[in-house]
Amino acid sequence: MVKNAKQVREHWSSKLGFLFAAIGSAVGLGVLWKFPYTIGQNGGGLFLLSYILCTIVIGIPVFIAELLMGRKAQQAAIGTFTILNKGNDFWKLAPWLGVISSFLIMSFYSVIAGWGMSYIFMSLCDFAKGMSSQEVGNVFSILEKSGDICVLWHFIFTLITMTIVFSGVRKGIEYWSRIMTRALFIILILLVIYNTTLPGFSQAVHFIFYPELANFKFSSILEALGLAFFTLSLGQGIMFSYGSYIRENENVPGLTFVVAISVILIAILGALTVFPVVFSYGFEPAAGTGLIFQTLPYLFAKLPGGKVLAVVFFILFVFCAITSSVAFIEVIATNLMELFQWTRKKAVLLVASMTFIVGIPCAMAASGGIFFDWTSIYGTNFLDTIDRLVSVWLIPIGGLITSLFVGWSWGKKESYDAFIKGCSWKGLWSVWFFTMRWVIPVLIFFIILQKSELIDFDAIL
Amino acid sequence: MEKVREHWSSKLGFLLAAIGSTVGLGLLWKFPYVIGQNGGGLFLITYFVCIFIVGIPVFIGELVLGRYTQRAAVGSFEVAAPKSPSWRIGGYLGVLASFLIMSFYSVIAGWGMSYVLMSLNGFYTGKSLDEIGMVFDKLSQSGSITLLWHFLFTAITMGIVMSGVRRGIEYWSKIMVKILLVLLIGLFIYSMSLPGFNKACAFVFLPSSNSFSITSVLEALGLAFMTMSLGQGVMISYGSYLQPKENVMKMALIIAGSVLVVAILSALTIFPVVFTFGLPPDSGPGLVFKTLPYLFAQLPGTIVISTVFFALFVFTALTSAVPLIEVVATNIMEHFGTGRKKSVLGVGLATFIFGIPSALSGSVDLFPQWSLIFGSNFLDTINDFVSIWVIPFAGLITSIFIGWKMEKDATYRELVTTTGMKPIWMIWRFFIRYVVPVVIIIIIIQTSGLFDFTKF
Repeated sequence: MVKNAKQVREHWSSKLGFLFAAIGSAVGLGVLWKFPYTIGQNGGGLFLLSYILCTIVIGIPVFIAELLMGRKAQQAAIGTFTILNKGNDFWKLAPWLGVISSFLIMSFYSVIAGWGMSYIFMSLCDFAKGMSSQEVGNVFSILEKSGDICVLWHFIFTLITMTIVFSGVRKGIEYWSRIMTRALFIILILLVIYNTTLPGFSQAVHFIFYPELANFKFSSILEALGLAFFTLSLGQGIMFSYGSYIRENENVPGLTFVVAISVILIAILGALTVFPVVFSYGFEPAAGTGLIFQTLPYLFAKLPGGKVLAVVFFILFVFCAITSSVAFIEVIATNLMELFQWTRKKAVLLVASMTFIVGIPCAMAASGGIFFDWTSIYGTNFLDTIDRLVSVWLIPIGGLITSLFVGWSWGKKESYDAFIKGCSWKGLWSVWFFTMRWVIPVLIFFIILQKSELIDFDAIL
Repeated sequence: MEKVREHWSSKLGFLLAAIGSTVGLGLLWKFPYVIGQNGGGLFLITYFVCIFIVGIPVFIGELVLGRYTQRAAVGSFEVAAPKSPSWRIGGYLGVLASFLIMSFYSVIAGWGMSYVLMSLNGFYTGKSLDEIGMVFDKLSQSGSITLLWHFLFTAITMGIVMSGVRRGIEYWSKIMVKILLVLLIGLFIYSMSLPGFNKACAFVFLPSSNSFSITSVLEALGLAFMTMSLGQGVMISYGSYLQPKENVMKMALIIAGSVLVVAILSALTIFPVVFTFGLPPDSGPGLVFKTLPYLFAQLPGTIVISTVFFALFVFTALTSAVPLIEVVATNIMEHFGTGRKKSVLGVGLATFIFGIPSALSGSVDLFPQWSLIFGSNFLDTINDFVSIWVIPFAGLITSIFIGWKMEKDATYRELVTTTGMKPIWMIWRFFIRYVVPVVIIIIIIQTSGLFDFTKF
């Protein structure tokens, strides 16, 4: 495999090819599922602002760094650090955290995507017809609490992802991915347009955009940072792999801006689809992981042609999840292949079956079928615990180590050489390097300090 | 095995590996609660005496035996005395001890892993102190969750032993041991400010005969063996990786010293908390998990300190678990000629399966009548069996073997050439020939009730 890795890598055929792949990986459940409910739980307005700031100040530079490092080393995450780290084993922690994060995310990702699949069929049956908002919400609780059904969908989704990774249909997926991403965009815009007619629309806009200073808590910034990393697919080892497929003459910072802006845009569209419904029909904005499943079907049931819309929406939802989960499984498998010289088949099969097994307790988290006492010991159910472990701790810490590596160990000259390939704007490099070296470490350090309750900035401010 | 063995690259490499192996759950988990159960003071003195007159000589003996024969536990007895196979039982007992320890070790370490996740997930927030303490009961009584962590810990240990990442682990081990020391000292300093500190010092240091019994002596001996990783075949293996020019005596003293320092630090961190919050000092194997969160909840930065402490706890457990699995696997490899991968996999699987009843001992899903029949639950039974009987017996046989059966010249060459001091060798030889066996035999006879020496 080491020999293979030395061979010239396949590269993205065009700039657009990379963009769609990166956006496809980024626009997944992070944006559609996690973003709305996290905003809801953290009280809107200011949280969105911190999310956007985190994306711009921390997310974009780290995104650039991961792509550049991957392009330079022409390896997956762990291999990238092995080549670039000059023998200091400490830095390898970052890609390992990334691979572990990918693994854990995939394990619950397919549970959520499985719910989405279930909703496709439920929508086909017009399940929400004539139900009150409360009843639509209850259907989700019933689904969530029936462990066996969740495991079934979890299994099917993992199987589909594995099949796609295995077979040659990945190219086909990329073709569809372009169409689907556009379709999703259009549907979201249509839904938002309809939502403007709802009575709760202005309240929702106020909730999402108006930075209510009274609600601000410094502690929710870590949440925002984790979400920024999560939605940009950072700290999961994915962008190293993607970087290794980018051509030398491609403008990495330029690509990054496009990806970041589309992610933010779709995220806001997603929020504008969900929250007007929440406020118009009396849903609870802080309802948590089920938010999108509880609210949207009720909206669809009210719309003309709602059945078609609902089916199409959930198909797109599942499709977005598939493009991201393909990336997860690929990344973990590639790292294992490069690390242990396994064959592709073995690696993919092993990774998929492991994520399926680890996902079982996630699928049964609400039903309490396994680990009955989990919530009373850990404070949150299994799925939420894993989700929080990854997005609050593993991903930000991985990002911190990556930025420290770039700022302090990779070397000014090396990073400069990598940066200016394809990007002629030299001044940008200084800004980027300064951010990697000082701004990000200091910010993440403060954020973790707050989260760890060492210093309570909430009390100081 | 005929090939030249890999050796530790430096003295520091060995020392850190040896400290890594000894500073494990023995010191952080077992030492405090055993002291608590045996009433403090007098027990601590007995433990110290055991370390000095039994622990150090046997430690030197095991290293010498391993370096001389260049073999793992059972093999070393074979090579040193090819004609008397019955001595090999010393090696077998060591392997048995390693196996049994590993089986419940990973349950305890698994609880540690659970506490890492719990701390990260903020289980402290919004709970009263008592509720924080109660979480351990819930955890240990939830069989499925304990089993999950038991499985994870075994799998991680196996993964480390099997793959090439052992070197990475050694790198982290160097850092972790230092952080642990700093953290323990920091916690200790904070504990000094607690109102219960004086009472704790009195409890730990003042020799009072409260709840100290004759069996306590045997427990102190077992604890000394356990905390120095003796009687488990571990040090024999480590000795075989040791370079010939290294001064074994000095190393033994350094390691004994660091074991004592860490032991006292961990006791002085835990007991002030116990007495300040009025917890029972003799609450058994859950002591660390039940008391330290009280302390962490008081401190600023609860989440970080709690996470870091339990992460270090797990890490030290890992550095001790790796040699336990290695010892059993190496012996199987040398004995049956099986491949490394297969042996490690087999051993890991076996310890996992044998650990299941230990993991389920709190929830009593398996062997519900065990406590009624044996007087303590499955985990405690195995734990007591190993540290009170298997390890001391292994140490006894090893010491007799080294003192009486191994060639005098061999030990002379091993020790005098490196230290250059003949008197030290003579003292050591006197200890390993007479003092160690006599002490162990007296303790065993006394405890088993065959003869009551207190009559004198």
